[in-house]
Amino acid sequence: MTEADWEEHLMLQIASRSSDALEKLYDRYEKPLYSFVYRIVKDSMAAEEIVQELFLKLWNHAEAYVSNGRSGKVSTWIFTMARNGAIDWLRKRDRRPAAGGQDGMDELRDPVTTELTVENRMLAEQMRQALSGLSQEQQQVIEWVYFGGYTQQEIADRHDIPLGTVKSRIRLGLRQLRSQLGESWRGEVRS
Amino acid sequence: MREGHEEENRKPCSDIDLYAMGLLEGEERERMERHIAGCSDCREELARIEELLGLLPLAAEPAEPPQGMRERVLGQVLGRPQADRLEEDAAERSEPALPPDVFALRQDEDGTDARQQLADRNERSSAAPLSGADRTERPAERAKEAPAAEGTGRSRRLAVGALAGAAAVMLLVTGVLAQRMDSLGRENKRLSAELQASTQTLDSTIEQLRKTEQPFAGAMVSQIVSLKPVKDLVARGQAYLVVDDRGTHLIVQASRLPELKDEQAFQVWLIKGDKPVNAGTFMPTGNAGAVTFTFPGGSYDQVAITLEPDAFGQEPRGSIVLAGALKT
Repeated sequence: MTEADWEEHLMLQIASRSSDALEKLYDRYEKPLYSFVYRIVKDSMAAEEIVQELFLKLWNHAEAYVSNGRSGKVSTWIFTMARNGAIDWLRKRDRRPAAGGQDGMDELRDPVTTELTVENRMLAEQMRQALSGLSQEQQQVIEWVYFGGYTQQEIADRHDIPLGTVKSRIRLGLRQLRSQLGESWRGEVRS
Repeated sequence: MREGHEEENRKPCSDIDLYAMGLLEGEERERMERHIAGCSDCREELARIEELLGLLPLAAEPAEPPQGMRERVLGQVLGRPQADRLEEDAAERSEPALPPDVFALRQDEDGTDARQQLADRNERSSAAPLSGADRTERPAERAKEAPAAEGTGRSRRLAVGALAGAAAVMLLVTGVLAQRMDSLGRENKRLSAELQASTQTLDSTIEQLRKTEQPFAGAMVSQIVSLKPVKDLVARGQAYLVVDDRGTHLIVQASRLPELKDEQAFQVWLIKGDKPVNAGTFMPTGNAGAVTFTFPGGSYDQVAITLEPDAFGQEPRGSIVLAGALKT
């Protein structure tokens, strides 16, 4: 049984109101989720709230998730919800960690110690390496867009970069990221 | 992206990455969505980018969750009584009763929920009264302070505020707790009656839980069987057979199940010839459910889910809802 299958199974149990399954999923994701959300909001209280909100949604909507023939993996769903929650929070407070972004990317190179499995840790490590292989400018736009929730226009205005340049940096950044990672990761993710 | 493809539909296809990152808005976004509906290359590309983006969260540097977060979050989600939350609830209801000092401490918290900040400070006051990191994030707050007062003056004011707040919170918590004790007493009586009635079920559940405690580390999936619905039902299901050193685990998942009436329940059976073995009972929430069953091994021809009049049958009495053939 693969990781993804196991998580699917947990989701089904959660849909059947198994608190035990919810706790298992929580233990699995607490650290990576908290780290990810904290990375975006830079506020421990808010990060905890966002994680709580997410598990509340998960507990109440697992059934819809399970019966709607969803696409993609449980982890993708969870992280997408987390990012939405975190970026919403930033927008509401308008407290996006301004400009810079540089520090963030430096921190990405720290070693990981999550509760996730070896496979995921390897992926995380590959991802970090791939990110650090991007040019400074590409790293920055991805940081602003993905972790900061900024729109292209906001980036152009704030940093005085022509809109077309912002677009091409995002595009090139993503492409670069993909070629850095190669195609090998896809098999692992899919399995 | 392939060159020919790109030239053909230059604009929309080349923006697929921007779309995937949620960067297209309004008309651009709509145009892209229309385009994707008719362009299989873009759909594939989108799926690839989304997978890639799905990995970015893993790259975040590890951060240590706050102490007690697990209990607070799960307590709140699962509706369990939880000390920290009680305190926070009390703080929330108590706003008018808090002394003015407490407000002084947060007037400059620029929009952050003041009550939560207070709860946060109370919580953290024993471990780390005022971390440096907290302050650097709020330049506006610092600007309001006279430079000389920055160090001790502010700390003292915060400490006094926090203590006064804590005292007020304690008072309220006492009241709230008294009320809760009452209702918990009643709840307790009801629950112990229920508990007695369900001891038997509980025993088997515990047994099952114990067996499923760990994910099947090092396990091998020996079979995945798609369960087919009978007649005109829309139910769907899967059965997995997983083998590890503890035995063979049957995992059955089903969704879109028919609604249960009265005492009805679903039961799962492993069938060899005409001899069924009970592999568990479940009551779905909504229309989905799952069961895990561990057995020593041996081969079975079929796995089936039946709709039973109640949860206690040792043999199938109802009709089959989903079934699938096992490889022997």
